[in-house]
Amino acid sequence: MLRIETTDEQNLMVDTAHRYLRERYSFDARQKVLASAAGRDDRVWKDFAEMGWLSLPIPEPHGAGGNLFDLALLMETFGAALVVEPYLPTVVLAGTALSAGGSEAQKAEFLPAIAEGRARMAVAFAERHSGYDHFDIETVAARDGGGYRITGAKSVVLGAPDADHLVVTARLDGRPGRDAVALFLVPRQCPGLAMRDYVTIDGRRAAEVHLADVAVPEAARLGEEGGGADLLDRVVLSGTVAVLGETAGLAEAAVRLTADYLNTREQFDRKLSSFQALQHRVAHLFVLKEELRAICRFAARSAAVDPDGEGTREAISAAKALAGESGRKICEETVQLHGAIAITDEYVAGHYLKRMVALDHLFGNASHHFDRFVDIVRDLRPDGAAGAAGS
Amino acid sequence: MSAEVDLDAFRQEVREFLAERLPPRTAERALAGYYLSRDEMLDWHRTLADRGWIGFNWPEEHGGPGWTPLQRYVFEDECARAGAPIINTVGLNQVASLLFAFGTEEQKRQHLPPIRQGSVMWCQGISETQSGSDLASLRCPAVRDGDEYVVNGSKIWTSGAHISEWCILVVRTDSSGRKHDGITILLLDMKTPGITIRPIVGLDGMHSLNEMFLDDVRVPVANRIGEENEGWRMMRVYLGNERISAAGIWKLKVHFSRLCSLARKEVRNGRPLIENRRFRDDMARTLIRMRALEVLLLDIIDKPEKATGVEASVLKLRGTELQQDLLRMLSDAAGYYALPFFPDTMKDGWGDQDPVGPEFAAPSTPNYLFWRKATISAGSSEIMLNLIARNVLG
Repeated sequence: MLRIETTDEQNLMVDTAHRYLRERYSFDARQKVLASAAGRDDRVWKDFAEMGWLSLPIPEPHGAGGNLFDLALLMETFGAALVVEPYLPTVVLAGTALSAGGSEAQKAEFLPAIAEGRARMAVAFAERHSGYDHFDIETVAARDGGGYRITGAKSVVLGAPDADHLVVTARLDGRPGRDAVALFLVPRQCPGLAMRDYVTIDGRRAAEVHLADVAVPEAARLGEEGGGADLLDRVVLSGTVAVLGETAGLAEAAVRLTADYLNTREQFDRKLSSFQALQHRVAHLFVLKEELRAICRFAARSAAVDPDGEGTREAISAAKALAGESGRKICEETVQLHGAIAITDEYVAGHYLKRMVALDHLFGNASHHFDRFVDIVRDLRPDGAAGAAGS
Repeated sequence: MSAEVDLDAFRQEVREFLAERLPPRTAERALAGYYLSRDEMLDWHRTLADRGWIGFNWPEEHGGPGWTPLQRYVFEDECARAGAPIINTVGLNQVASLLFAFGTEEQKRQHLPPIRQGSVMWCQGISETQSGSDLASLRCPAVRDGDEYVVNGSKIWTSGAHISEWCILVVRTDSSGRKHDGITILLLDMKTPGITIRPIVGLDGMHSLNEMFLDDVRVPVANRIGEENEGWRMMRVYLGNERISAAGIWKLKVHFSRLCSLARKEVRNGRPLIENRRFRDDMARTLIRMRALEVLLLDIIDKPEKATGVEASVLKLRGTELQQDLLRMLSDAAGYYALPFFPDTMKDGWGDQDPVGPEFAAPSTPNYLFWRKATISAGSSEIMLNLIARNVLG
């Protein structure tokens, strides 16, 4: 069903978030966060906890039990405000890994800590040669007595520098195939675990993580042996939905900013918005943004209702493909329409573009998802029946 | 001087010169997309000056090499392929062209030799916060006081102001009439008291842009180019000359070549990027457009009226768009490694450190971000479209 409606509760959450972020996370406030050593604002994180946002996607009884559509709507507000706080790694990625794969003891230990803002976590799923294929894993978890020894190198792990715990993907005994994929909960202060941290192009914190014979007990493996691939799919799905939401919200804010600028800035003794050529361009951006938000919300809703369905896989790839392409176009145009001021770090316009570059790559860029979409959609397959019913 | 030059022989001569005199380290760094140091650029400038291969548009009596436009083209082509630094051309091109056309003998005597030698760097004080595309609306006032002008105002987007010895400063000496009729061009010694420079950090995290504040800055009338209030006429010549170099044809070839080589090495979903049909299609489309652009360039290269006409606008518009397409592809090729931000590596590479991700990744996204400015500066794409439309529609 393509029709999407938001509930009063969702609208209230979104309005509250927009209002809070406008006041507490203005561009100037964000600049201070970027410039700080930690790259985050702990008081803001506490506020997030108090607002219930850290518990939103975490299932009851430990969290609010919101679904992926709720998450996407909240992420739209974070995207609009260019929030730097590590919501994605801790709440979305690690939160999903633990709630879908943790034991009852692990859930009881970690999920309330996440929801209350006491825990910082990260999920390490990408590797140097894996591209966007999160199943292309070279990290090995070798059986060792009652536990495992994990060896490998993980790439661009968002949130790792601050994390107390990392969730790391590995292949059991290095074997190929879906049933050998496993996720492990590893404490940061573990012998053999080393990090090289850095700032990202959009001001967040990430690290290269090296594991050299990191010993973990059996209980560190999240979920049953053989269940790791499904768990990882679920983690990636929730991360992708979050990124789609963030992209839609960011696009909205960028278009709004551009419209305001054209209405303010004068050259040649008239407002830029009085030039028809520019009116058409900003109208075009509006169209791109509307289209983008529609398809992202559709994907999020589909994921909320039927996370494992093929319809969702198709919707997600459709949205991620368009998000990357249109999102990039909107942000590049935003810079162009602002002129030189957008080439500096001092003004917000360029920061939309920086964040958009990062969002495009996370969980597969536009090109990657166009390819996936083509593979998934029956109508586009050379051997697919034309106009197949129920496809 | 023979009108027919053996271009093949000349190309060979240039190659030999480059092989002998271009420091390999500099070439490697330039080809890898790193930001070269001021010393690297000045050293190369001096090497060229010693050989007499500098100031291509300069009359021979002032040290120009006496090349045909095609020779110049071949020279720039070979230099770009070899990784020769793109030297600062504000002095060599823009300032020199103003001096040749409108400068006094004394001004030429004072400024041309150091420009030619590379012993001074020049910046441009033109744009203001409220005067971007509408350049003629500039306000920075200069008031005549005896044999000096007193300037009180500000300029913005002055690349390299913090490391330049001289500045082309475009000021307003008359606000009473039409905005175009009150503009004057001054040559400003950057050691003059009253100049404050505020660095502006770009999207690449680097400092090249500046804001410049002028408080009671006194500029001798002898440093004025041409007549008072005649600046706009001169600016049009000055700006017109920038367009072809801003198109950056040679940069395109370097970027494309780098893209080819890393597309063969970077693996995406199990296959080298060059085998990814979508990526390869984008490369093909760009390559085709680059060829078309080169044909256009060669057509106008020896026709001065076209070099400042609609053809130049087409070149600037397309050339800058292609630059941006290539830089986007170079950034995209990094995949997740587009995210790690290591500003220091943009100047010095990784040095002894292990790179984070593939070596090409560190500068590629900052470059992509900063060069969103290519379609904004030296005549924005919108201005180019205006000029082209005017030409098309009459």
